[in-house]
Amino acid sequence: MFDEFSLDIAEGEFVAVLGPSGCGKTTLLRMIAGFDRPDTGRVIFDGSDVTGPASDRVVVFQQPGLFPWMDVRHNVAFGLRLRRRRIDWQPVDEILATVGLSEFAGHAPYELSGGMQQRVALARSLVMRPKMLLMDEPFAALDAHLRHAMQVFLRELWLEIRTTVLFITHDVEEAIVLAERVVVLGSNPGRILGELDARDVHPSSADLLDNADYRRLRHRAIELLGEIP
Amino acid sequence: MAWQLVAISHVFPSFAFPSPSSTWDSFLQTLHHGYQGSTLLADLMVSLERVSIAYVGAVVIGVVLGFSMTQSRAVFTVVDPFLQFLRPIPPLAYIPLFVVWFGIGEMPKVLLILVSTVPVIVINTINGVRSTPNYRIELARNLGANRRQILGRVVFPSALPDIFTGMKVAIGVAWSTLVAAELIAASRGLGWLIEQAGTELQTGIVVTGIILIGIMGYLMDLAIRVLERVVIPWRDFV
Repeated sequence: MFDEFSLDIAEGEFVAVLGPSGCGKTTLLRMIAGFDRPDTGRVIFDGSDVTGPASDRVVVFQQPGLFPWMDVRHNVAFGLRLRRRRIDWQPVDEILATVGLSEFAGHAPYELSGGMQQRVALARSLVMRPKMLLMDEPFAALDAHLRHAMQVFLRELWLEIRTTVLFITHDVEEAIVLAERVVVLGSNPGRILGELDARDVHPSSADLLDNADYRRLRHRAIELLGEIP
Repeated sequence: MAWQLVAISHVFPSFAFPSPSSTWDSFLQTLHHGYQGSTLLADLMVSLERVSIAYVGAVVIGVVLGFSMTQSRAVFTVVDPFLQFLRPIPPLAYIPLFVVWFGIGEMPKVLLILVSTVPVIVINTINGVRSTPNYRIELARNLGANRRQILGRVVFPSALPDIFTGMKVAIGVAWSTLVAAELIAASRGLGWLIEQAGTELQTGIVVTGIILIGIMGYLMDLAIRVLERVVIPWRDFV
């Protein structure tokens, strides 16, 4: 699937992996998460080989995947409660406040909008204090307006907590505004076509189309993606 | 109305076709004075007791068995042929055998209900376990759940809607199996009541019994639906 593939991600970095469907970006994320094993090659995380999923690398999927039989607060606490029955609820309530959902703590997940559900999913991951967040097109199912709001939200959250993030997307704009570094993938076989330094553009940047940096990066990304035969 | 009209028109002899009013009289008669030494309420309670014990047993056995069959290849290989073999056989076919083995006590009736309902619960439980969305399991694994925790906290609740589907089918099957069994081999119960009254041409009592069986079946179905609402209010949202 991949050809001479090598990617290094530094601690605290926000990296977006941009590529068309079928380029293996989800496979890449699943291998880092430990769900899938590479046939050849290695995935090294924090100095040791990845052998399976663990809560120091938490995935946020496109589907929030909240458990409908638990209220929002218990969904967020799910990971902590796997470790011990009685938990300290303070970090749970803090993270709920961080994602702006304190008043919905007692609600059932299906009573929340798609964007709110995705924020709960994010809170459920963050409360584990992961070293790395693996996000697989988490906002792809949201409408444009909500999607933008979530991008602003995620960016600000990241500036605050500075967790390492690997963000998978097929959306050029999303990759550029969110990440510091954009890795562009091509398909058949999956390979890195190039990288962009997108540090200076973020989702709150006023009118992106007037932003020279954004236009340049976008042009470059499309150019790279265009190299796919 | 139509019932009363047909009855008073005397198209059929009144002993064969009781009118609503005479059925009502039979109802009050059996309710207050009983029939052949057994009151209507007592027969009703006997039937309800049999069906509840057997039904609860069937749900517990069915869920445990269904779960084990999804978790162990060996259990599945051993149990599945039996289930597939049992399924097309109408439970009443066992009655003669069960009567020979266990007489006409409580045991054969409970057993008969188990035989007819456990496969229903098992099949639905297996369905529920297998249709657990993979992302839920991966998510739980990712957050550090072990195998036991995944089963208890993710797979089991995910299977509940299907388990309830099985329970709703099974309650009807259990009730009709019981009444049928009582018709053939019992000394008490609603099925016994209508069978006994029928041989003595007490059609008013027969109709009373039939209506009561229908009402009870409806109420039991309702009870399971209410339970479902309470246990899995999220059913329709997933």
